[in-house]
This record gives sequence, C-alpha cells and structure tokens, in this order.
Amino acid sequence: MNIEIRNLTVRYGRTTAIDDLTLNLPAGKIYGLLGRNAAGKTTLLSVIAAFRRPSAGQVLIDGADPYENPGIVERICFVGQRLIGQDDDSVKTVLGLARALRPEWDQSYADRLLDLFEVPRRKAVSSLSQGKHSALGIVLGLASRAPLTILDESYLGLDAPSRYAFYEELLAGYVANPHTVILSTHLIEEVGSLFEEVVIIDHGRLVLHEETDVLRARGASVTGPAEAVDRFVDGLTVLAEQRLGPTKSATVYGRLGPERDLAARALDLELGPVGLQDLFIHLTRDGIARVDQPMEGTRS
Amino acid sequence: MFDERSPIYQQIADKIKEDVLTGVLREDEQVMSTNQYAAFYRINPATAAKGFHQLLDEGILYKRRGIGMFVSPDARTRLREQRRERFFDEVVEPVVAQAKVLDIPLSEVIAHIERLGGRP
Amino acid sequence: MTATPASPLWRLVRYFIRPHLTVYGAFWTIVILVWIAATTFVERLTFIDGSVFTTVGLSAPKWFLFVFSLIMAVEVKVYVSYGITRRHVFAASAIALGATALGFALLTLAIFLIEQVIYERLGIADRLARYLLISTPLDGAELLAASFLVFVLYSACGWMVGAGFYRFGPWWGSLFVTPACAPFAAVELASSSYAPASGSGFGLTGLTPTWGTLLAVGAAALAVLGAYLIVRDLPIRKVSG
Repeated sequence: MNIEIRNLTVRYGRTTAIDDLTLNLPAGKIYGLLGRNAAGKTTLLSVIAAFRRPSAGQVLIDGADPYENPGIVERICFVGQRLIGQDDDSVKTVLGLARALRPEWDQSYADRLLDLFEVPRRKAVSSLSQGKHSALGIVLGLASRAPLTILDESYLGLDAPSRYAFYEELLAGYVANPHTVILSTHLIEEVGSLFEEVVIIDHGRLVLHEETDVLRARGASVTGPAEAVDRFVDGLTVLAEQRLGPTKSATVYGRLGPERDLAARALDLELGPVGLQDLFIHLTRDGIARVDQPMEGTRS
Repeated sequence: MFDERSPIYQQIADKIKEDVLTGVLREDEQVMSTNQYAAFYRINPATAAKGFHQLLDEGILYKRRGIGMFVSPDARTRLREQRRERFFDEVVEPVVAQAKVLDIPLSEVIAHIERLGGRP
Repeated sequence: MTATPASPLWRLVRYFIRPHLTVYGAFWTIVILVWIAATTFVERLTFIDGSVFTTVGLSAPKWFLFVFSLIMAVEVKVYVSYGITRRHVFAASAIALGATALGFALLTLAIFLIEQVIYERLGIADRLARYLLISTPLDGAELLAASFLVFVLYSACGWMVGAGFYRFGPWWGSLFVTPACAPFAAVELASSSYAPASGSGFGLTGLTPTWGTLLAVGAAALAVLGAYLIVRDLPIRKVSG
C-alpha cells in the first residue's frame, strides 16, 4: 500500500510531535524507521494507521485518507509494544478477536507461530512476561497478513533467538507475499539487513530517507594527521571529530566516490566504514538534526 | 555475516565471485535463488537481488527462465581477467608503498618473490 | 460455520453475539431466581401487597445496561486497533445494544404478564396496592415502548460515561459523568417511578403521555447522538514514544 505523507504536523496540546514532515513510501518494501526516544516514531506510525488525526497536512494511503476509511484501515495492522486494552483477556481471546475482525487472518499460521514462540494460550495477557507479550504482538502482526504491517518496536522484548526467529518468519512471509512493512527499532545493526530503505526522524522532522545500502556507503571515518584530515573533509558534512595528539579522526557523511579514495591515500589517510548504528547516532545527535532540510540525497 | 565495509549487495556479489574463483561454485551450476539467499542470510530480498543483478550484468551469472540462475560457463575466466586487471593496482602497489615506508629495498622484495615463485 | 462477513460492521456484530448472550443469560437467570425467591418468601411470611417484580426487578436491567454499555465503550479502542472504523464500532454497538434493549423490554413485559397470571391464580390480584395492570394490548405496548426507551437511555448514558473517561481522562471524565447521565435523570425526574398505578411501566405520569413520550424519545435521541460524537474522533493512545 503506497503511503504518501505531505507536510504532516501533529501536535499534542503545546507539544509538536511531528513537524512538517513529507515522506513517500512506495508499496511492497520493508522499511526501517529509526529515531531516538520521543523522536515521533510512534506518533508518525499512529497517524499512518489512522489511530489519530493529523493537526495539519495529509496522509494518503493508496491515494486516499485512511482516517475512518473502512476499506483501508482493515488492511493495516499496527502492533505496538503492548496490546491495547486487552490486559484481562486470555491469549486465546485475543486471537479470537483477530480471527473475527481481520479479513486476511491466517489461523494456521498463528497457531504455528504461537507454538514457535511458546506463548501460553490460556494465560491472561497481563500475566505474560515481557518476552511472551512481545511474541504475542508479533503473532498478531504476522498472522494478520495485512498489506500494510507496522511493528512499532514490538519485538524488542523478545530474547535474541526469538528475535532471529521473528526476522526469518517476517522475511519468509514477505517473500511469499510481498507487502509493505514498517519496522521501527533501536536495534539497528541487527535488523538493518532486513530493511530495503531506512527512514530516520528526529524531533518530529525527517532527517533522511534512503536505500539502506546507499546509506551505509555514505558514511566514512577519516583518520590521520590532523591537518590532512581537515584538508580532506573540507566541503563534506562532518558529523563528529575526535583528536588524540597529532592524530585526528573525523566521521563524515556524503557521497564519497572513488576519487576520494585516491585522495585519501595520497594524503596518507585511512578511510574506514561507519556502521548504520554509528551513522544513526551521529545524525541524531543534538545540533545535527535540527536542520530545516533533510540530509543530502534523501529521496522523495 | 556481512560487515560494514561495503554495501551488502556488494558483499554478496563478491562472495559469489570468490566461490566461483575457488571452485566452490562450478560453471553451469545453479545458484540459490535470491529469495533463498535472503532467507538464509536474513537479509532483504531486494538487497540480495541487487547483488545478483550485478553479477548478471557482469556476465558472471546467467538466467534460465523459470528455472533459476546459473554460473556462466566462462565465469572463472572472466573473473580471473577482472582480478588480473586489478592485481597490480590493488595488490602490488600497496606492497611497493609499504616497502618504501619500512625502508625495505625493492631488490629484497623481488628476491623474496622469486624465492616464493620457485616453490610449487 | 458461515464465512466471515465481508463488512467490518457485521463482523463485529457477529463477534458480540456469543459473549453478550452469555452475560445476559447469567443476568436474567439471577433476576428471575431472585424474583421467584422473593415472591415465595414474601407470600410465605407476610403477604404480597404489590408487584414483586416492580420492587425486585425493574431497576436491575437498566443499571445493568448502563454498566454494560460503559464497558463496551471502553472497548472501542481495542476494535479500532484491529482495523475497524470508529463509525462501524459505534454502529455495531448500537445494533447490539438496541437489540438488547428490545430483548430486555420483551422480557420485562413477559415477567409482568406472568406475574399477573400468578397473582390472579393466587387470587390476590384484587388487594394489591401497587400493581401493574396489563389489561389491554395497548397497556402491553406502552410498557414495552417505555421499557425500551428507558433501556436505550441508560445504555447511551453508560456508553458516554465510559467513552468520556477514555477520551477526557479521569479528571474531566469524572466531571463529565453528570452531563452524561442527564438524559436518563431528566426522564426519571419528570416521571414518577413509584406511581405505576395508571398503567405505564415506568410511570411517566408526571407528564401527559404525549409529553412524556416526547421527552423520553428526545432524551434517548440526544443521548445516542452524544454517544456517537464522543467516539467519532476518538484518538487511540499507545504506550511508548
């Protein structure tokens, strides 16, 4: 399901959670939504899922406003960190509701996943451990087979083996039936390889939206004699700098082509890769992301 | 599995090339589909596909419609050619540069190489 | 088992059927048992001087519906989170509760009729001071209509209280209880629930039948409208940032 977001603003009273955000997410891809706590991830996803209305701007899904639009919202499945308002229900009841209401619900898949994650069916949701609670959310998200599936940090309570099982199931489902998936996360390095494109937001604004591999290639660490480093990074976006005696290490962001490689070698500088996690940390550090424009190269 | 050094699709392409060169993948042998690859390594299928497409473009792999992707019969030759072209730039030049830094006379380097060349 | 209905609205209505009927069954079983026990008890120890059901059973259904609707309203957020629009949730709930109000009204009428038969059999009908006489079908229809309206009123108000707490939070939600209950309070005040002698089930005798009916219908419509307006734009809150 194509998602178009235009100049979206969401305010809670005096707080602005999303600030004039424009973003295009074509259908059929797995997207990673990265942002620090209170960056606005959940708010953004809530508005996409029609859980709340924009204060200004537009959200269009397949060209239409999803809010109170039955044909669209029944095809969106939003799973957050905790189930909404079903604390006293049993797992069985929760699944029964999903089965009754979700048009594409896959019961056999749900059963298999419940067994895989070892979620006890008779227990009340409130008595589940955090890991099992998260697993239940995952089951709901995957077995709904919704064309737009949104998982808002809902798998963070899982232990590592369960998380990897989840990634496998997600991929298997995606390969069998390409649909749109948005995962918001902190565990960037772990999940990064699942994302086709990455969206970073900070303080309610879009920092960047890029293909994961392209983003990876954009970061570089430059290490060497301080003057040489300074000469090299002139004109590039410097995210961070560290100094140790005469040596300096700078983290830069930008399109570094092969000429830069040669230039670095000529200046006796060492170029190293910067992982997604580090890029994310640098890009969302205070002072960097308060730009009025998204980072260079951001698509849409 | 994949590191931060280069884009994942690049690493995928490189790994398959490596397998072809070392003989792990034989010519005309079928390779995993991009979806199988993605599932196996837990990466996005589009990323896997990108790596495979690069190999298709370079002629290292070819596609048989409805069946899958196979190693080209001349893949090894091609790769060796590629590597040969880059060998001097990427392997020899750094050796020379390093030797200079360490103040090792080139004649010593050459002698060492010749000694190694003598071995089977 | 029939296929899942295509319309989200009817999917939800169908989902309500079993749990609701179970609860109603439990409720009415208790009411009837209490009524039977009370009838037997009173007749054994003293004597019946008025309709036992009026004393024992008349308020129970309306307050039950008030609480039940309150709980249903609190559940709205759950159904929206499963991909149903707020309008459909409201409509499904209105259908369910409307049908329930009708069902309850029919049961109320039935019990009064049965009671009447019992009292006539016991030969005590003549000496009763407080009693509902359903001597004509019109009486029965009046009782049915009055019960139905009162049940709708209490349901809509209960719904508003529940939805109000979720939407406005505990502080404003508490303040909202008073206006939310105004519709049924107005009707109760304007009528006299303790003077059913002229034959109308809830004694809308303080006013002429026409005004009484208009008031009840108007209040019910207002309450239902209020119930709709609260959930129409209900923002669904999540846990976390």
